[in-house]
Amino acid sequence: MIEISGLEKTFDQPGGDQTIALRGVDLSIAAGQFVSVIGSNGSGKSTILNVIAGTYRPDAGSIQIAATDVTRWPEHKRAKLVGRVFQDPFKGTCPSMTVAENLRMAELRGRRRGLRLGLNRGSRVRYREALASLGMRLEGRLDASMGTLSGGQRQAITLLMATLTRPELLLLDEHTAALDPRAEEQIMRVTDQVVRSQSLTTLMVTHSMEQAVRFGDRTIMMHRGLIVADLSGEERRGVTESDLLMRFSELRYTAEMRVTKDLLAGAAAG
Amino acid sequence: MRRSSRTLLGAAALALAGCSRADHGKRPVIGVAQVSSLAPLDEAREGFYKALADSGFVRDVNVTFIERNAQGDVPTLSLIMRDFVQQGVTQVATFSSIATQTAIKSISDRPVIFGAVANPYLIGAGTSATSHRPNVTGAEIPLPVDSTLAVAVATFPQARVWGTLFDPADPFAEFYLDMAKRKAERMGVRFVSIACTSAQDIPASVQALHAQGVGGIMQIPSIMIGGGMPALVKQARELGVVVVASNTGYPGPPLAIGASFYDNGYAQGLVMIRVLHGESPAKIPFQKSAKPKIVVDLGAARDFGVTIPRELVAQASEVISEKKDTSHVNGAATPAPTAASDASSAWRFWLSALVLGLAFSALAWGVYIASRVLRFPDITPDGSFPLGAAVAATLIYSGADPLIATVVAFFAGMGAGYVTGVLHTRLRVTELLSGILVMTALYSVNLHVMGRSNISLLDRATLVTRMHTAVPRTAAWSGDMAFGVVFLLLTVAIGMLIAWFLRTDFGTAMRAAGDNPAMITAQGVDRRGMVELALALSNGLVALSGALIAQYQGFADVTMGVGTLVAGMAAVILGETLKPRRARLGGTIIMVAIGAIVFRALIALALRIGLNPIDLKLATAAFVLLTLALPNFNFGFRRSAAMVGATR
Repeated sequence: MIEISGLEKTFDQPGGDQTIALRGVDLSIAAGQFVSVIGSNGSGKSTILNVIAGTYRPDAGSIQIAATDVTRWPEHKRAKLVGRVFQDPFKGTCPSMTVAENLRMAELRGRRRGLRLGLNRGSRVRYREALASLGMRLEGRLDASMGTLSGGQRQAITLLMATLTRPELLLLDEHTAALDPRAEEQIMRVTDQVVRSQSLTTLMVTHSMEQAVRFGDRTIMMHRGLIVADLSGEERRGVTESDLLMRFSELRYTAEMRVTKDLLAGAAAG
Repeated sequence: MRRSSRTLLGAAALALAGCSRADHGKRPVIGVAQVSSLAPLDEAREGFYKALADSGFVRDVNVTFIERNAQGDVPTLSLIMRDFVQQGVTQVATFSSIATQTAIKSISDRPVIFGAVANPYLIGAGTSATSHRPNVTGAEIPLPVDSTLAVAVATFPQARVWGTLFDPADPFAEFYLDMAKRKAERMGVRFVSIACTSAQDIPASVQALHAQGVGGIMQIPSIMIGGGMPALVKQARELGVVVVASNTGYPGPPLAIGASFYDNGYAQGLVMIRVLHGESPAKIPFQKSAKPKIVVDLGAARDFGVTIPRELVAQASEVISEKKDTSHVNGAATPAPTAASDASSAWRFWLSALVLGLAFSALAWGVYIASRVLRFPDITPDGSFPLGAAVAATLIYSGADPLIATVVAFFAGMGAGYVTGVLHTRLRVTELLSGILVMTALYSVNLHVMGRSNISLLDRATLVTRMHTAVPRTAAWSGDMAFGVVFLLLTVAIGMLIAWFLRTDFGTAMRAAGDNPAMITAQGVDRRGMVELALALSNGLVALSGALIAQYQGFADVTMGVGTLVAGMAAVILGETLKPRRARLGGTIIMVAIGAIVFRALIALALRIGLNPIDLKLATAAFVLLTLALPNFNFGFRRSAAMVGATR
């Protein structure tokens, strides 16, 4: 269960300009719900992910994950509750270490890291099984250096790392954007499988309308720092990519109007 | 009532003011200026105080001393003189030529009484004993380098070629060198001199002398090299080169010929007393101490494997027959090492490079952890290395167990690294600046730790002392062998600990913190804490290396940190270059240590084929630069991107 209310975030640009990334976003995600987020560049879809993960501090608003207010928690502390997969396949794993070492680090997410050699026969068996479940023939690469794997393989392992200990929330930040179509397809298949099998509460930011309608059970559309559409259940069933695109351009217009009105009102008040 | 109280107050104030002024008028305030805490200078000062005490001048009763020591930093001397004038000293006593020279330049309105000056004319104190600056007089100390050389050559005929180290920054080096060279020429003896710019380079410089065939070192007086005398003696002993000092007061050489600094200080004190009694310094001619003193150290002679003729022993004004600390020479009853043959001297040469390499392994690992594991350009080692040496030397000097001293040095280094980390992570100071700030601050810290600029550990217990007690010294079993065994065991143990630590769950997270900050944060680790701890570990190892080096070379010096980081980098780069492509963490750790050893061997080789020790640091820097720059030229050098990227 994720509860977000009144989230605001403004970035200072070099030169003194300001960019408003989030204009008071409210969002509530039920436990086990798989939500996809779409929106154009600068819509705030990545920002909201980063604010939830703790990379950025919001200017206003609050974030609750599993009934815990984490608004003031630093990023590394939130990692206890949040699993993440980044857009950049290089960002989620350590290239100089082996697959097993990476998995060991992920297994200890949110736990004390002591002075013991965590990689033993038992843990290696666990990791091999987990890798096998991906169905990507990675189970034999336990001792391969992470740096020798392809982008798709890395993203699959990052996904595994994010879910090795069940997170309260899984954040996917355009995690297939840097992959070729085949790898993209593969990772989406694995993602769906992992999310469904563990019934993970998931927030997936994507640039692909196709992904947004095909995966998950709720789709959110963002524009200029606002949620402009929220489709689920009956409303979402049968929606196609082109429907979404149409919808999107319409809503964009109304959001544009709303922001402009706000600006005019602000100017009038000032 | 009111009026009288005010008068009373006024009178009291006047009396107080008058009192302090009258006090200055009656009680002389003598500014005592010393350039560094070298044993001979300390001796001279003791003689000076003794002379005053013998004439009834009791400290803080009828004379005040303001003691200032520049701790080896010559520019500080000018500040000291200014401070003396500000504090209103009535007379200034200087020890050493450089202190006197500074005093002459900055003080002309009150008496300057010098001691421990070999040639007052050279520093502009006057033109003859009676015709000199009106406010400057004192006692000159004859340091007849020429006659010392003559005695040395006659006493140790097995040494065909003689030599000395000199400090090119020392304004008097040329004077002594010239004197020695002219005498050698007259005697038909080859005399070689090699420049040495820091106490740290003394062992290398001695190796270079040895490489040029020098069998005996007649060391000319020098402040810097005097401070490194333990290192000089130790290295020379390992190479079978005999050492004769041209001034007394340094422990270690079997033979020292020169004036007694204590007597000289006493003579200086007598001059001061005449001035205190009202005589004008202008009227007092420069005093000359009596003829040179011969000091024979039989224990040292045994360690060197040389014999000193009976006639000379009979002539000696001081004979040191046993060392103060006998544990060091417990095996002295067995045959002493004889002057080395060529083959065994070459072996010793390489052995000492190996031992140094082992001692520097901890440094290389420290630099490896900061620069490769954490990818943090940390400059702290230039300060944490001497910190480790200072802490260990100070503790050992005051009688602590060497092993405990070494461990404490490790923790001191950890503290320094932790501070660098905190500056960066919590106070948002850039990585480079954090290291620079801590390194600079450590210079003062190190001086405070030692209480002076140089501590000698000769004749003190070290990590190898127990080894010597167990296995007596012989020709084959030299000091370097003992150090080699102890350092090898220690290095293997430390290397295994590091390899184990970096594989633990905690160590893996530390590696990840350097490898991928975003990832480790997403895995729930506070990267800041990891940076702080990794830097602590890194500098702890660097300090540990400093502690080992201090014990090996026999002294700690506040300047010994210069170039530490670059030397460590060179070792790391060498290790990585020699590393098999498939080597994992353990293999890399072993190769970094081997890199340190190979680096010392390369330096030894360079010196053997005639590299001037002055150019050592330049050559090291050029080497590191070359290995960093080469891959940019695309010669198909592997790991190019990784190497340049990691050292950004």
